[in-house]
Amino acid sequence: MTRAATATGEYPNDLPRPEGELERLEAAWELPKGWRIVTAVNNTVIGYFYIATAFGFFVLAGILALLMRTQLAVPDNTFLGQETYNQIFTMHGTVMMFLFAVPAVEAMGVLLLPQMLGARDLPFPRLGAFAFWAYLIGGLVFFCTLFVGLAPSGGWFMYPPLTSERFSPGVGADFWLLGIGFIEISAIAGAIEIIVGVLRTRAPGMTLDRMPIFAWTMLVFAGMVVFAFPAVILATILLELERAFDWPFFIAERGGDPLLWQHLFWFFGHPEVYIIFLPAAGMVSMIVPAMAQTSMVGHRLIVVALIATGFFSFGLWVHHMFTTGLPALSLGFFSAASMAVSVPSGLQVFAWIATIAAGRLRLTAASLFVLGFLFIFTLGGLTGVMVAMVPFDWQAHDTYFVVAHFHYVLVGGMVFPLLCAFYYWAPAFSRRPLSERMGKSAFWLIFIGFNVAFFPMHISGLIGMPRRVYSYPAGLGWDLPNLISTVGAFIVAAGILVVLADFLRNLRPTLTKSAGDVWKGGTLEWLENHTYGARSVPHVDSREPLWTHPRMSEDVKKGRYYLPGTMTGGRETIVTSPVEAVPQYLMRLPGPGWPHLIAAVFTAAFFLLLTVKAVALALACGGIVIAAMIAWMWSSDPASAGEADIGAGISLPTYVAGPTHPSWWAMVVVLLVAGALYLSYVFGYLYLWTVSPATWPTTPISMPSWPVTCLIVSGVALAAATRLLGSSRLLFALALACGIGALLVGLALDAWTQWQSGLRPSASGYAAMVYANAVLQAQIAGVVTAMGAFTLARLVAGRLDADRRVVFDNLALLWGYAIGEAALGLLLTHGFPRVAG
Amino acid sequence: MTGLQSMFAPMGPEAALIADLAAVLFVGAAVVLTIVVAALWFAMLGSSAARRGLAAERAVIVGGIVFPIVALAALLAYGLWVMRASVASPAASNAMRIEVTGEQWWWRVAYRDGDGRRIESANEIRIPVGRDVVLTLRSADVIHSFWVPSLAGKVDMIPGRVNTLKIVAKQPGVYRGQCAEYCGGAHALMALEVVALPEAEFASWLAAEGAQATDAAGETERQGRELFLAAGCGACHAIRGTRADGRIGPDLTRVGARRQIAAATLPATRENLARFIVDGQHLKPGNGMPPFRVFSAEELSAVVAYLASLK
Amino acid sequence: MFRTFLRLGAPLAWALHFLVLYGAEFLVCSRWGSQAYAAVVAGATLAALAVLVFVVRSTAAGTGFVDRVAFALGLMGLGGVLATTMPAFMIPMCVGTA
Repeated sequence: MTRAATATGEYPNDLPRPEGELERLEAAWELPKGWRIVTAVNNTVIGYFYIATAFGFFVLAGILALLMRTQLAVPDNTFLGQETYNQIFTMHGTVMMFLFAVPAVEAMGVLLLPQMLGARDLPFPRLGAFAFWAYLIGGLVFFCTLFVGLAPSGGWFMYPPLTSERFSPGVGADFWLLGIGFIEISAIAGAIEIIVGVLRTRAPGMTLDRMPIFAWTMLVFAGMVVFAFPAVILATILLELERAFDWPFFIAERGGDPLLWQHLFWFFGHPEVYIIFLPAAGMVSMIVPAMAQTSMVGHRLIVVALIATGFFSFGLWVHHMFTTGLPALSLGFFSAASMAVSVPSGLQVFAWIATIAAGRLRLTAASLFVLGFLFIFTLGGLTGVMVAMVPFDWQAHDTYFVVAHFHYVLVGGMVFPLLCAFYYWAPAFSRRPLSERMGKSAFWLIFIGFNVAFFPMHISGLIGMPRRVYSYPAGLGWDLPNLISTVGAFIVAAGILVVLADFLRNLRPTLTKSAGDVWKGGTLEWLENHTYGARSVPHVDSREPLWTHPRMSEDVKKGRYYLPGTMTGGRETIVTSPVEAVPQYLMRLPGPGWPHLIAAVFTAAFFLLLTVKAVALALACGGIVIAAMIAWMWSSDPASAGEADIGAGISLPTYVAGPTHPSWWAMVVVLLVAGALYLSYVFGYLYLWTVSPATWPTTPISMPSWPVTCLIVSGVALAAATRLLGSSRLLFALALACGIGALLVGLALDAWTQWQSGLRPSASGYAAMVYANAVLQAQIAGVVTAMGAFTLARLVAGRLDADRRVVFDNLALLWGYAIGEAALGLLLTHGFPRVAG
Repeated sequence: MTGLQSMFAPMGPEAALIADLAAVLFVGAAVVLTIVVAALWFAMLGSSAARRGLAAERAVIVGGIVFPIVALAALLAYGLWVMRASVASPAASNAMRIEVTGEQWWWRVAYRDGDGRRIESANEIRIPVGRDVVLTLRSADVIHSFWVPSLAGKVDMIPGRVNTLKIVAKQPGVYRGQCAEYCGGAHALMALEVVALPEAEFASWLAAEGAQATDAAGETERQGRELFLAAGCGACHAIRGTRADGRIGPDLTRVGARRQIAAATLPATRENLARFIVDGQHLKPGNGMPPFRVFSAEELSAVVAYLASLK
Repeated sequence: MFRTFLRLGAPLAWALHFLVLYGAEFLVCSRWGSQAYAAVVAGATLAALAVLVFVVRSTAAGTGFVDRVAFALGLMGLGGVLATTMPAFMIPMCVGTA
């Protein structure tokens, strides 16, 4: 860092700013007009759409909850039939978890992070937009299956064998598997964007220590998504393979095991709770200091708590399987981890209380929601400790006690903070703040209604009421608590109606004339925002820069800080180093466009058509997706536009390759996702072996010499291509084509040898696992092939050379990974039977 | 707060241990919640000295780290001790073994008599008071969960696996239970009753249970039996001592002696038996038995009379 | 690089320790019995504790952000490892494994 802006009045850029600078900046970031707004990629626009959609699903799933509460108001009710009720509770859970909670917190990240970090936008705007549109379309179609009676009815955790082809023959379960699997992919796309955004697009000087807690929580959130979601994606792939082709992963008679699903699902499912809760806690950690007008007490402790929660939450998954008959000692380990994870949460609660004590809490609507959150979440945490006690869980598991517990945790831990966030951040994105009076009435209705609805459920559970019953007999003492719960549910609904009415009356989304910093917040999202974020990017030297530098908002607006205009004539953002936030690169960002939107629409169509087994149509859509993605990616990676002076004498390159480029980081995250997916598979393979070792072959097939040779050839070609890119285009192309070809041939040969040996995937859990390996390898190899073809096309078009090489660098990472995964696959499927047999 | 199906009415040692554990947990939770609410109260409205104390990082470390670690370690040890008591203690040598198999949406029950002969029944488990009973839990289709809160916690019934659960009833009585793992369609209507009998009474009941079905006593009952057999009921249901030897549905050899029908969801009255035969799909949607509307009113009551006589 | 990694390795040490204790119960108990499993538990616990003690000691004096975070994570990791080991002392090993 050369010259830093300080309070002494030295700024990176001088005033007055040149004429036309602001106009050029505005022009670069101009939004598409009218209905073309759907092609916009700005994080603020996508953020609005995202949050509105997520909240819409919240309301829809809430209506389903009201239907269920109406049915359960009295014993032996006939308001809803058995099948309808089963579909409704399945959809309520699924929609709340996958279409509301995760997208809602991701949406808050998309909307807030660039503003909070002092970036102009997220690093991959079209990827974010793609993830949103795919989610919107996929989610809507998925929800609509309810209206035609085709919704899944296996419960939101879809345990086989109930969800197998034999016991759920309709397409409902397929809608869940393909629909949700695909929405999970969109969540991962968002997570990649968030990780790279948080680590690489912070304002200069915003070291990790000065980074707002919300950004920390989103970083941990995204990291957890990267490791947790692949487990459930693998599970959905396996179950769909079983349903479609009779590969018996979960069928006990043929060496599968229903518990494999539970392990994979909960390895995702328990972290999921924290995936939802942590960002919400992050919002609270932003709002409490602002409302109390003091810094967060124990800032570093909270960072530690967040990281520890992220890790500990992966040691809890069996906590949902305490009644499955696992060995007592195993249960003990998971009970211990469940205890350990509550320490960091308790720490955060006391840190919030300390911050409130350190300042003076203004009793605004947002503060009320914080207080409500603290009460409800603490109670939910305490019942969480109870169900972490194995013997207690033997009684409480799968009863209304658990229903009460997780609603306290999730509604208390996520919905309250979200409503709080709406009331707090609305003025940053709306012409008018929301109404304090309506917010407070809404709070009281929701808070009282929630406790009236859910507290009695603890009791109905302990006196024997199992969850997921569409009806119950009179005379077991369940009548009164259920009636009270139903009354409470409608009070909550009234509160949500007040919130919606407040939105209608006061929420006027704007990107240019927001109400602004009405709470006197200390972080960068309270700078005056425009379509391009803040006019200039401030230098950050504290955790609450707006409190440290009272004139910062004004100076930023005048353009005194970094990057006061557009240097290349287009959209751009500063890329900084991950720990110390030193400026490294001026990244050019894309503007609005159609290809990512078309790709999203047809990706959704592809999966949904596959569900209803319209294979030809689905393939046609898949073709359109590939075409759209090529069109989308073609304009990426523009050639260097020389150096750009962002102020303070800092001159940044407009082209970098290798680990400095954000897309290299994104690709590394993709590899982590792929690695987590494959490790989940390795777990599944070894797990089935521990369950039914008898189905493993005693005489393994011949050594895979040819596939190994192919992998070696592919690796050599990769190394050669990396060197040849600078020297010979022809030899480079040859190495690329041969290397990827060798990879494909090697994988095909291995699958063919297995087939030749007489092994058929439907024969046993073992056989199915062997071919599942082939499927997973083919997925990666397919992507490598597509990227290879794209790279060659860029080479031919002259868009790839020794300097302009990001496209190849990314391919090389994935290609190298694919070789490694293929080698691991060979080691597992050929080596393990030899060791175990 | 005691009902027929409540963990607060423990009638067996495991349930009693868990009820004690629950009491400790509830009191502890109430104390912690009070501390948090009080801290919050003082943080907002307390004296400046109190607020200064709460605002120190030390308060966060003591309240948020040290206290939880101590409390949770103690709780974990207690929980593990309870677990050890229920899991690691072997069943007595005179333990009674009963096989229970979960099926969509009823319970197949099988006893062994003194000679090891299998005696099949359904939806009602009779046990001797005071004696260890080891239940062998299996599933025939999807995952179910066996749960009788007054006696013990729940244990899942999982295809391909055999789980066991030891129960002891301290006193005679009827303990209701219900499937606790969602098992599709009529999951809500999959209940059962455990009837604990004094040892002598149990012995004579088991002897009777193992015998052939009682012969049709009167003319109506005989007519009912013929209709039952002619309508093909025996393809799914067994009545030992007759041609009916189906294994798909519940064994009906002593259906007249059971307290409830349809997996403990309807009292075993003649009206309910008749309704289930004619309109079972309405009473329990999706169950495996098609509606038998072939019977005239008299025929139906004859069949019902026959079934009710099977005691 | 290696030292930085080791300093931040506390959560990872906890995770690996946890995985070994849980995974070994299925793999070791059925083949080599509870004594071998007890040896695995003891070995894994000692190794994890060694890593964590190293982390805590090497970061205790540091004042930078990374050091303070690593130190606190080290303490959390220690707590986590001790909690995970507690069941091994209280519940009989290899009971209920097929």
